[in-house]
Amino acid sequence: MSKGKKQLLATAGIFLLLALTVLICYLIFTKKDNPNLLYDDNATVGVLPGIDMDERRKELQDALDRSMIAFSINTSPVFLNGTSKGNLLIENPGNNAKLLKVNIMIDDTEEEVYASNYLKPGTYIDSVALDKVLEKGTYNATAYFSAYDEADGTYIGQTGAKITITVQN
Amino acid sequence: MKKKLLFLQLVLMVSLLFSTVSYAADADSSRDIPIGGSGQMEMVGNIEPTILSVTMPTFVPFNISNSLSTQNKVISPRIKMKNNSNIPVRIDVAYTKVDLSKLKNVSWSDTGTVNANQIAIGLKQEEALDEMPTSLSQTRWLKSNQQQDMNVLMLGANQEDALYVVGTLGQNVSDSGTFNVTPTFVVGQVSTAK
Repeated sequence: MSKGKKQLLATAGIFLLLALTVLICYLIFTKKDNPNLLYDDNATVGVLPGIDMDERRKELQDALDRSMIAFSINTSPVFLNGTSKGNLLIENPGNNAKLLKVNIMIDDTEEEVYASNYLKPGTYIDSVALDKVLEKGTYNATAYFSAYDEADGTYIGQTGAKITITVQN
Repeated sequence: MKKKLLFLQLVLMVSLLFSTVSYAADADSSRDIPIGGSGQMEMVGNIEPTILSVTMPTFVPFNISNSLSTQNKVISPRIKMKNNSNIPVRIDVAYTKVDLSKLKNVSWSDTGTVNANQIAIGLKQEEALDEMPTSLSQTRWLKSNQQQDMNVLMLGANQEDALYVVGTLGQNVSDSGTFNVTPTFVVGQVSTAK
């Protein structure tokens, strides 16, 4: 193909592309609403606030993250007898930023055998006597950790841990 | 001269004898066992308590809506559970408090199958990182206001995993109402928990 023909084809191609672009722009920007329909003036362009799933999920995630607590406890505390102290080893870690209260319930009888007062973040209970005197034996129990807002004491929620209490004599 | 030598020998012998006795006494007092000798060594063993240490939520907020196109109608946060201890643990739902009093003519379904006026909510282990489940398969359904002790997650030592709230509701259940579902998570050592 001669050089002149190539130039002619290239020029024609460019004109064709320009013409197509102009046509597409015309169709897009001159599109009119149907004059027979009455559109509501109160309508706002966009997605209804609160319906955006990602936004809603982020709000829920923030609420859940605020309720997270860390805690530690001895899974098998031992008491020499029903009135002596035992190694419960309950901890409210410093990074919790929540107050914790601990209640221990015997699983079979649902009897509460221990209730702590508030534990500040960064504190722990090493050994303590139970509030109820237990006979010699082994007891399956659940320690419930209740979380409270550190600033105003508002109740946040509760979680639990299974433990086994042993009373030796 | 002989007497002097004899005296020196005696002094040397006495000093050697004394040093042997004092060495033996010293060895006995520190309870070291001399090589080639015999003795008693006390071995003291302490049983270290098994500490359970976890990070988990105390409150699980969620939204449910029939407008979601997926089988799962719940918008759920990622419920992170972390085992900070050196023992494997299991996470159970011990009890779920359900309050539907603000919804008229709506009841609870324990099975995940709902009629037009029912709601069912459950928990599902995360399958893909940070992605809410779209289906309801493998869901552990929460039972209303009764002891359940249902396992929802197993965590190895120092392992982290996540759950999502999932659920469905009947077509007659109003989208504008609110209700409360409060599961109590209980963590236990794998070998001793139920």
